[in-house]
Amino acid sequence: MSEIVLETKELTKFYGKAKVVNNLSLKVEKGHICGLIGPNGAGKTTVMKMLAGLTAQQGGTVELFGDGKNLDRNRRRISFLIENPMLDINMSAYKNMEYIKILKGIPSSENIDSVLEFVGLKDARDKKVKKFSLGMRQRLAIGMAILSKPEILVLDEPVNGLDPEGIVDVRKMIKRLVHEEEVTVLISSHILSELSELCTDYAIINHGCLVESITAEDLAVKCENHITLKTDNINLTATILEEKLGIGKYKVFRDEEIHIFEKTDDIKTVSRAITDSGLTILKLVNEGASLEEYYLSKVGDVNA
Amino acid sequence: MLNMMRAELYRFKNSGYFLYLMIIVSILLQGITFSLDKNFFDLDLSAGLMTMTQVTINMVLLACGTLLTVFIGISYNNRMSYYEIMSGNSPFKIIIVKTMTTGIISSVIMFIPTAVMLLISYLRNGKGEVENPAMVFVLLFVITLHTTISFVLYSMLGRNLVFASFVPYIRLGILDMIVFLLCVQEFSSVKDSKLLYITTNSQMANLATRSGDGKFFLLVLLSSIAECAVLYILVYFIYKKKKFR
Repeated sequence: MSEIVLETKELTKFYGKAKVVNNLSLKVEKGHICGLIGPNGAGKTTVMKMLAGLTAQQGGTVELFGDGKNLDRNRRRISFLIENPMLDINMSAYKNMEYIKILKGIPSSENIDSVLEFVGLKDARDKKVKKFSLGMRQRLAIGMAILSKPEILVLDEPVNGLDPEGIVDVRKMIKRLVHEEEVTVLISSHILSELSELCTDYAIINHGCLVESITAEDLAVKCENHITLKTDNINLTATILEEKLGIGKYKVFRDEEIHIFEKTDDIKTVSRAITDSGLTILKLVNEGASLEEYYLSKVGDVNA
Repeated sequence: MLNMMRAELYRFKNSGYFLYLMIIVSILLQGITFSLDKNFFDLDLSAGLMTMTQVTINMVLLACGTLLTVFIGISYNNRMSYYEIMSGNSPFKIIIVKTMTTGIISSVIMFIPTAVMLLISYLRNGKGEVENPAMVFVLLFVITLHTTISFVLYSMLGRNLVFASFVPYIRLGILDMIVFLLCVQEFSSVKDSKLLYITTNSQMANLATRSGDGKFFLLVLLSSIAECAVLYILVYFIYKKKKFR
C-alpha cells in the first residue's frame, strides 16, 4: 500500500443541531485521484472546508501527510478550490495570480504566464476578473490553485460553469498534474461521467456518512455486466463454478457475493448447477451498471 | 508572515482604487478646515488644533476609515481573506499582518495631511497655548493609529461587507456615545472617568489643552492598547473557532 497523504478519522461536524458530517473516516493515497461523491447537502464541501481549516470539526481528527499535529504547516503544501472561485474581481487575472504567488512565497515570476497559458487565459491576462465569465473565473481559480505546485489538490466542483471544452481541459490538466507532478487530488463533482474518467478511488457519502469507499478497479468489476450470486456456502460455490461450469472469471467480494463475468447470458445453467449441488441460492441476478447507476443504488440504499 | 504582509499590501495597492482614493480624500477633506476658518494659516497651533478637531479630523477618520473597512469587508465577501487561512497561517499572524499593513498605512495616510496643516500653522504663528507641540503630533498619530486599527479589528470581527461599511460610524458615533453616557451615569462628573479616554472624541477634545500632561498621554496610550487588545482577543477567538462562511 502506498503512502496515505490525507486521512480523516471519525470526522464529525454539527451545524446547530444537524449533524452534517458523521464519523467520516477517509483515506487518500499519494498520487491517487479520489472522487468525493454524494448528493447536495451530503457534507462534501463541509469536509473540504474542515481540511482547509475554514471550519472546525466537533469530533474526529485530520491527518495531512501522516501528521495530525502540524496542520497549519502542512496546509502550505496543499491548494484548495472550495465552492465558488475565491477571486478579487477588481484585479486582473495576472494580479490575482501574483497575489497568490506573493502570499505563498513562490519564487519564479515566469510561472504565472505559463499557468495562465495552461488554463487557457493567456489572452485575458490583463483583463479585470469582473469582466470574466463564470467559466473563465473557474479556470483562473484552478490556475491559482496549481500555481504553487501543491502536493495535494482539493477541488470542490471544479468544472462548475465550464463549457464541454473546458471540462475536457480540466480533466486533461488534472491527469497531467497527477502523472507529471505526482499530485494527489481530492475532487468532488456532480458530473459522475467526468469523475469516472478521472478517479482512481471513490468515496460515496450521504447524510455526512461514508457509504462506501471503493477503488476504480473494484468499481469497474462491480459495474461490469455480470451475474451476482450469493449462496449459503461461498467456498463450495466457487469450486462448483470452476469444476462443474469451467468458469474462471469471477470475483468474491467481502459481502460474500460472487460476481461472475463469464456466461452472463446463461443464468439458468448457473442456477441449476448450484441447486443440484444442494446449496441454497440467496441471490442470483444479472447486473451491470454505470458509475451513476452504482452511485444511485448506494445513495438510494441509505435514503431508503 | 512577511509574504502575507507583502501580499496584503499588493492587494491594497491593486484592488480597485482604495489606496489612491484614501490619499485623495484625506487631502481634499482638509478643505473643510478652510470652510470653518478661511484664515486658518493665520492661527497658532492651539487655535488651529481647536478648529481641526471640531470637524476635519473626524471627517477624515470617517471617510478614509470607510474606504479602509470596505476594502477589508470585500476581502471577506469575495473570500480572498480565506487564502491566508488556507495557506496555513496562524490567526495570530493574520491579525498582526492586517493591523500592521493596511492599518498602519491607512493611519499614516490620514495623519500626514492633517499634520502638515497643523505644522504650517505652527511654523507661521507659533504654538499658542499648547505646552508641548511635538507631543501634539505624537498624540495625534497615536489617536489616528488607535482609531484605524480598531476599524480594522471591528471589520475582522464582522467579516462581511455590510457590517464593515458601517464600522467607522458605529465606532466613532455609537460606541463613543455609549461610553460617554456610561461615564455620565457612573460618575457625577464626566472628567473623573478614565474610561472616557478610550473615546476618540474625548481624546481629540483634550489634545490642545493637555498635550504637556504625561498622565493624559499615558491614559490615551493605555486606553488605545486596552481597546485593541480586547478586539484582538475577540478576533483571535473567531479565527481560532474557524467561523467562516
